[in-house]
Order: sequence, then structure tokens, then C-alpha cells
Amino acid sequence: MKSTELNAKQNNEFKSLMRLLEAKDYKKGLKNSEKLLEQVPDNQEVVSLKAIFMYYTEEREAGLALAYQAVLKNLASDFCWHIYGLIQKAEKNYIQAVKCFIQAINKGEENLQLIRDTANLSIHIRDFEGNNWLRQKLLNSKPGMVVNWVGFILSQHLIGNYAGAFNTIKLTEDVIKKDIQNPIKKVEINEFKLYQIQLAIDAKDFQRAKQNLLDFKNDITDLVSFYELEYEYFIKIGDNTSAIQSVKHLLDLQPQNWKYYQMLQKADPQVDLSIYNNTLVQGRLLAQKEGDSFLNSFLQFIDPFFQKSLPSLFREIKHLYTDPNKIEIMKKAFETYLDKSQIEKLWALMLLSQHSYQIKDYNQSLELINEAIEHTATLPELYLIKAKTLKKLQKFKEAYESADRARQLDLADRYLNNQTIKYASLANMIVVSQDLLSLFLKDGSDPYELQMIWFELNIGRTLLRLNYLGPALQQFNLIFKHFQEMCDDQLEFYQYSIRRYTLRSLLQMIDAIDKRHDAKYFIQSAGLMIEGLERLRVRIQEQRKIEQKKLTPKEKKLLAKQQQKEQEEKLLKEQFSIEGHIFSRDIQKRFDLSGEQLLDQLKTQEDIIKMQNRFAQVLIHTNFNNKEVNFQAFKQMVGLYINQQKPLLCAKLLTKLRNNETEQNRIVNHKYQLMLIQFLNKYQGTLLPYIKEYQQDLIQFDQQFWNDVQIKTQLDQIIKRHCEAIIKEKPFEENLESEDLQFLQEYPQAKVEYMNLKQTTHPFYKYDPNIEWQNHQIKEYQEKQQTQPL
Amino acid sequence: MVSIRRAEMQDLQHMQHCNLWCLPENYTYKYYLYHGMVWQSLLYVAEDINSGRIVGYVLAKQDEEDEEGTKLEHGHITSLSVLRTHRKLGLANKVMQSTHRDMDKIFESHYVSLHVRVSNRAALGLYRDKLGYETFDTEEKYYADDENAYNMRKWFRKKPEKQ
Ligand SMILES: CC(C)(COP(=O)(O)OP(=O)(O)OC[C@H]1O[C@@H](n2cnc3c(N)ncnc32)[C@H](O)[C@@H]1OP(=O)(O)O)[C@@H](O)C(=O)NCCC(=O)NCCS
Repeated sequence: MKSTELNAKQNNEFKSLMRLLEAKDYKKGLKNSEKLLEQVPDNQEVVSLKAIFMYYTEEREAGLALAYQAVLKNLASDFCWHIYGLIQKAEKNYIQAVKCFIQAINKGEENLQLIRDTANLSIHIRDFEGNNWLRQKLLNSKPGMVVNWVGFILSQHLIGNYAGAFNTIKLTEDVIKKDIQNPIKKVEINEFKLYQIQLAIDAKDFQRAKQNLLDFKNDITDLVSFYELEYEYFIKIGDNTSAIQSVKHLLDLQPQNWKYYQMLQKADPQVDLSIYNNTLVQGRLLAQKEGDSFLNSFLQFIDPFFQKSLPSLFREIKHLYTDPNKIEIMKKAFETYLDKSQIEKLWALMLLSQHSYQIKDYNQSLELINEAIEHTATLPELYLIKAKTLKKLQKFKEAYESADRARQLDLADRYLNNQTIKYASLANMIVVSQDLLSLFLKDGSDPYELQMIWFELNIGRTLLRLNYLGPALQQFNLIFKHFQEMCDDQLEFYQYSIRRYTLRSLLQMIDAIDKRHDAKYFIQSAGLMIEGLERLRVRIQEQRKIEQKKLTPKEKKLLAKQQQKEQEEKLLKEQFSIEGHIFSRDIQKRFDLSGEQLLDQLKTQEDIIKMQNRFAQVLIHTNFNNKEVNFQAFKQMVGLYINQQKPLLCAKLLTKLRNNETEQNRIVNHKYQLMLIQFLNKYQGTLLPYIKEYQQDLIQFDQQFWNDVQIKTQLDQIIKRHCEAIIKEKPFEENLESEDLQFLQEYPQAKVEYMNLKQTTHPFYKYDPNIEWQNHQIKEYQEKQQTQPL
Repeated sequence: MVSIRRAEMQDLQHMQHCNLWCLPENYTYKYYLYHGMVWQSLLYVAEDINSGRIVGYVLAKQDEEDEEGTKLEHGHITSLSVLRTHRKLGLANKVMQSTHRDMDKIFESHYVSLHVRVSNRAALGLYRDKLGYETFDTEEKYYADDENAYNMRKWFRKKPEKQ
């Protein structure tokens, strides 16, 4: 870095300023830069320096503004751009930072460190073209360095220039050979070769992939990766016979990897997995058996658990509960252990309780687990099962107490401690939750630094339930911060892994981080955040209304109530900041646990909606494999998008809701779908042309849906399904919830459907299907038993 | 049903979660990422395939120098745990054996080392009796709560003479 227009003495002064910047001595730097500016007030490069010193001495905003000014006044100066870029980077405004650095580089900055940093930043913002250009620049200036070659290969790969990448690899191999001073290590060769195979497969250059697999085999020590790639290659070229061989090698290496069995089945659909005699496969195969053969295999499967690891058993067989035929058989199997030894009786009681829980007979489950506890009072697992059941029975306080009993039986176990925290927060016991957590925290540490998302989510949910909006929203906000941290954590590793040839891991990281929001915790907290914000918005809206008009006595009363609520919230804030509480004042302030700073940004309804939209935007693109979790979050967006009159997003949301319909959420789900359809009805005809331009997944959206007739039948169908659901769940009209009745009144069509359904001969609303098929099962099973020859 | 497989980058946040439910020694995500970026082949997880949850993991790395400062490539177990709900199914044993194999075959490690609380019966049973680790040293007050640690090693190659 250099500056023109300065005399020799001033130039020295300038250089010493640079040293101060490097040494992070910002205070002195600020003073000295101001002195120098007295002599050269118009030198924008010195102004830039002053700006960055200001930025780091708690004049953040002013420093940022001044650096920008300097750039504007001297657009030709690479130095000014560079400094402005550094400030943007410190702001984590990476896109802006890259723009600035590229300006600096274009204007002649030749600092290799800067070019390398910019290249890494450009991967970070996923500007792969820019990265390619910068890596080329690095390579041109230092072609002797292997790392510059490897970085260039990766950059070509990322823009899909495979031919270029293969070519560069060839040249790189030569450079590696010549670099005698830093000989490549065996592990690095292993990694580099594996990468080349993957690259060839990604490029669909199968000839090359084949050659690589043959040529590199002896250099590769990571056989797991090797055979996985080989399998992928064989499958891609359709050579299943060879693919089977690859997967057999993999099974020798990792016989417990279920994915390999699936790969085997893919390559050989006829394969008989039963020859693999391990608990994983045998357990999986149970699902395919029926009747006596199932009973025998089942007994054989569970028996070893009785000797050793019974508390883990139920999870291993839970998946069998999707098959009604198996449930009674399993129950019978458990019962056979009731009259064996004392310990087996205990296990049997425990299993039967879990069994009842699974078929949703919670009272029975409770009875059985109590019996088990009477039998043996010292087994923590029993109390956890009891807590789980009590939760279903909505007895949250008792559930907490039961979990706490478990905890006290093994105080060193963190799992039991965490479970107790979960139940405590379910019972709205916030302080107890924090105290329990502190038992496993080192002095001075806190859950926020350690990114304990599960804890934040639980506490946030509780606070929201109690309507303490500020503290609640801040817990979710902290969760999003962690997701942002995860993303920023990548920055250090781009160059690192290029240097170590771990390019395969690097590519995987990029992919994983890009998909980081497809995680249960993110989806849950984003949904709750939108909900909490909505409550805050309504609260503000109501306040405005009250401020604007004279109050009737009733409204005055309401206001008083509201104020009381706020008083309580204040109290809670204080509770969050009791001196000597596990979270010190410093921690409370640093993480804004009372949510004050957050609420400061949310003063108007517009602010709130803006923030809701920010989360909704991310949420609507997530893809997670649990429908219930998805639905709970997506439903929060319905009101938001309808209020904002956003038909395209509503249409997209509708698809999302339809895709995430489950037995459990059906009724509520239909209500939300109805709201969306009603809204969308206004837009028929005008919408279709736009949809074509909209995103890919919307184009796939059932286009038929948009013609009038279709909309009508859609609506009818949903009403019908909705009525069915209501009737199924609530047999008598007088038992309907008020909102269901309201629904029937609001939709005349629904009423007709409802009556029709009631009168049909199909008596599905009269019996509990669960019990019906169970009885049927028992009968069938008994009949079979009798007809079996002895 | 639990599947044992090498970790993918997507698993890292779930490994962190599992760790938070099992041990008082916790790390931020970045530390997991660091292991993943350099020694991905040493990271193994136990995944409950019914729920898709990560119920156990081993986080491991390589070192080129041993404690005496001599050059001796070896592996190190940074963290190992299995959720209480899935214990005694042999999962810890299996993830450990997988990472051992890769330390030996891929990195040509001479040995693997780890620290364990002197009171941790389950872990000691696993390391000493099942996996063949030996106590190399006891480190006083190694843990934040002042408990001592055994520094244990298991050799893949011949021990150098002076040991
Ligand atoms: C230690 C831990 C990882 C063991 O996990 P696991 O999957 O249950 O262990 P495995 O089923 O593979 O057990 C293997 C061997 O360990 C020993 N072992 C495991 N649990 C034991 C216990 N509770 N008591 C005594 N020995 C035990 C046994 O020798 C067992 O062999 P066996 O099954 O043939 O008897 C697990 O208990 C755990 O996560 N604990 C908390 C975290 C922790 O302490 N980590 C280690 C930090 S260094």
C-alpha cells in the first residue's frame, strides 16, 4: 500500500500509521492520523486510515460513513477501496467487501494476501465466477506454489469447467513432482486422487473415471471412500454386477451401515438380505414378516435385550407399530415375560407401558409404569417413561417431578438432567430450568456461547407461552445467530482445505451449509418467531387504537389488564437479571436476554412485518422430512401472506401445506388451506401468466388448479374432507368445538356436506377405528392360533 | 435400528447436539467443522434410521508430534458419546473401531490417545477391556471440576523402545 502526494516525511508518517493498524493500536492511530490530516486535509488515503481507526474506536457509524466518503472523493485509489472493504468485512457485509476488494485489485492493488482473502470471500458469497478469476490471478503471480494450482482446480470445478479442471490437474501433478522441498504426503495423495475420481464422475466423464479408478487404486488408503466412488461409477454406467462387488467390499468394512444394504438392494433388487446376521438387518427384516413367522423372529430378536440393554429395546422396534397386524403379537410377546424371573417381569411391565403409550392409551400406560416403579424404584428410565406419559395427559407439573426423580437417581448423567430441563420448561418453570442447566456448565460459561439451541428453543417456547414477548423473541433470535455463526465459520476453512487437498470435504461443506436451514431447530424457531412477532404486532396495533380514541369502561378494564401483563413482563425481565443468578449481568447484557435491544428495532408494525418477512422468506424454501414440524411452522405464514396480499407466495404456501398434511394436523391444516384458497380465488385468471415466470417449484404447481371449475371442486373437496375429519374426531354435534361450529356456519356448502355425511350408511363416525381394527386383529390372530396344527 | 457410518458435513450440527446431551465438555460448531474439514475420514456417527437422529458419534483427529515433542504420527479421540437411550448396544465400540481402522490405514498412526475421567466406569470398561487401551499417564485436575484424567493409548504399530 502506498500513497501519492505525500512528501518523504509524511510518507514515513503514513507508513507508521499502517504499522499501528496492523498492531491494532487504534487509539494512537486515530490521534496520529488526525495530526497528519492537519497537513494534508484532502488526502483521501489518510482520511481512509482515520476512518478505519474511528471504526475500531467505538465510532463505528462515523468511521463507516467517512470511509465511504473517502472512496467517493477518490474513486481511483485502490487504497481507499481496500480500507472501505476491510470495514465492510468487519461488518460481515461480505458481498460489499468483495465488491470493494475487487475494485482495489482492479485499480492496481497487488497484495497477494488481499487477492487470496478476496478469493476465499468470493467462495463464501458463492460468487464462483469471481473466485475463478481471482484464483487465476493468484496462480499467475505465484505459479510455483502448489496451493495456487489446487485452488485454481477447485475454482474451475465450481463453475463447471471440468475440461479446464482436468487440464489443470495434469499440470499440477508436474508442479507437485518438482516441489522437492515440500514433498506431498501419502494422505494428501490419497485425498487428491479420490477427489479426481469424484470430479470425473461429477463431470460424467466415465472413461476418465474408469481409468482413474484403475490407476489410483494403489495410491488410495481410504477404502471406504474408494469403494463408495467405485459403486457410484458402476451404477451410473449401469454395470450393476460390478456395483454389487463394490458394495460387498463396503459391507466388509462397515457391516452396520444401513445405507450399504440399500445400495445393495438398488444394484440387486432380488437380493436376500436375511443372510446378513446382524441386529440391524434382522431388525429391519422383522417388518416384512407376518403372523407366526413374525412372532418367532420377534421373540428371537428381543430376547438378547433382556440380558443386557433392555431400556434401548423399544426404540429398536417402534417402527413396527405402523403395521396394525403386528401390534397384538408384540403385546403377547411382551406378556410372556411377565411370569418369568423378577427382573424380566420388570422389563415386561416397562415394555407394556411403552406399548400402551404407542397405541395412545395413556392411562393404561401410566398404570403399568406405576406398577413397574413399585416393583423397582431405582431405575431412571421408568421415571422418564412416566414423565412422557404424564405430558400426554397434560399433567406437566407431575411430569417434571417424575423426570426430576430420574435425574436424582443419577446426578452425573447429563441426559437425565437435560430431560428434566425440558419438562421444567414445559411446566413454565424457567428459573428451575436455568438452575438445572447450570449444574453442567463450567464457571462463567453460558448456553449461548456454547450454541445450545435445544435449550434456547425450549425456554423461548415457554416465554412465548407466557406471553413475555421480548425475552421470548430474543431466544429465537439467538438461535438464528447460531445459524449465522455456522455459516461464517466456513470462512477460515476454504484456504485451509485447499492447502490440505481435502477438496471433497470442502465441497460437502459448501453444500451442507447452503442447506443449513433445512433443520428441525431452524424451522421450529422460525415458525415461533413469526408467531411471536405477530402477537407483538397485534399488541402494538391495539395500543395505537386505544391511544386514538376515548375509552369506555370496558376498554379501560382491558387496558388495566394489559398494563398488568406488562408489569409482569417487567418482573420477569428482572428475574432474568437477578444478581447472583446463573447468568451474570454481563451475559444478560451481552446476549440481550431481556430482549430490549431487539424490541428497540421493532417499534412499528412495519418493522415487525419486515422482520417476519425475513424469516418467512427463508422458511418457505426449507425442506425437512418431518411433516408435523413443517406444518407447525408453515401455518404461521398464512396470515402473514394473506394480509400482505401476496398471491404467489400464498400459492406456494398452499402447496407446502398440502404436502405436509398428516393424520394429526389434518383438521387445522384444512382450515389454513381454505383460507388460502378463498384468498386465491380473487386472483384466478390474472395469476397464471405470472406463475410461468415464477420459480421452478411453482411451475410444477398443479396448473389445472387455476381454472375456475377446478377451484370450486378443490374447495368442495377440502370442505368435505374437513367435515369428515370433524365428524370422525367428534361424534356428536354438541361436542363440536365452537370454531368448528363457526366453520359450519360460515360455509353453507360445508353444512350440506356435513348433513350428507351424517346420513350416509357408512357409520365411520360411530366407532373408534383404532379399537375396531384391534378387535379384528385379535380375532383373526386367535382364529389362526386355533387352526394351527399342534 | 441404528446404522453406523462415516459422518457427513450435515451431521456435524447433530453431533454437536448429541455431545450437549451427553458430556459436560462442549465445543462450538467451528471445532466440529475443523475436525470435519481435515479428518473427515475419522469421524463416525451412529444414526437411528427410524428417526434420522444422530445418537452417537466419535470426533477424532491426528497429531504429528507426541507429548514429548518427538515426531510420531498418532490419532487422538477428541470426544465420544452415545445418547443414554441407545447405550449398551455396542455403538461406541463400533464407531471407535471404525475410526481406529482409518487412523491406522489412512494416516499410518503409531497409536491413538485419549483422556478419560478416572471415575468413568463405562468408558474405562470400553477402552481398557474392549478396545485394548493402556494407561499411559494420569493427569491431575485435568477437567474443569478438578477431576483427574487417565491419558490412555492404544498401539497400532510397535511401541518404540524407550517407552
Ligand atoms: C462410554 C459410552 C460412550 C459407552 O457407549 P456404549 O455405546 O453404551 O458402549 P458399548 O455398548 O459399545 O459398550 C462397549 C463396552 O463398554 C463397556 N461398558 C459400556 N457401558 C458400561 C457400563 N455402564 N458399565 C460398565 N461397562 C460398560 C463394556 O465393556 C461394553 O462391552 P460389553 O457390551 O461387551 O459388556 C457411553 O456410556 C457414553 O456416552 N457415556 C457418556 C459420555 C462419555 O462418558 N464419553 C466418554 C468420554 S471419554
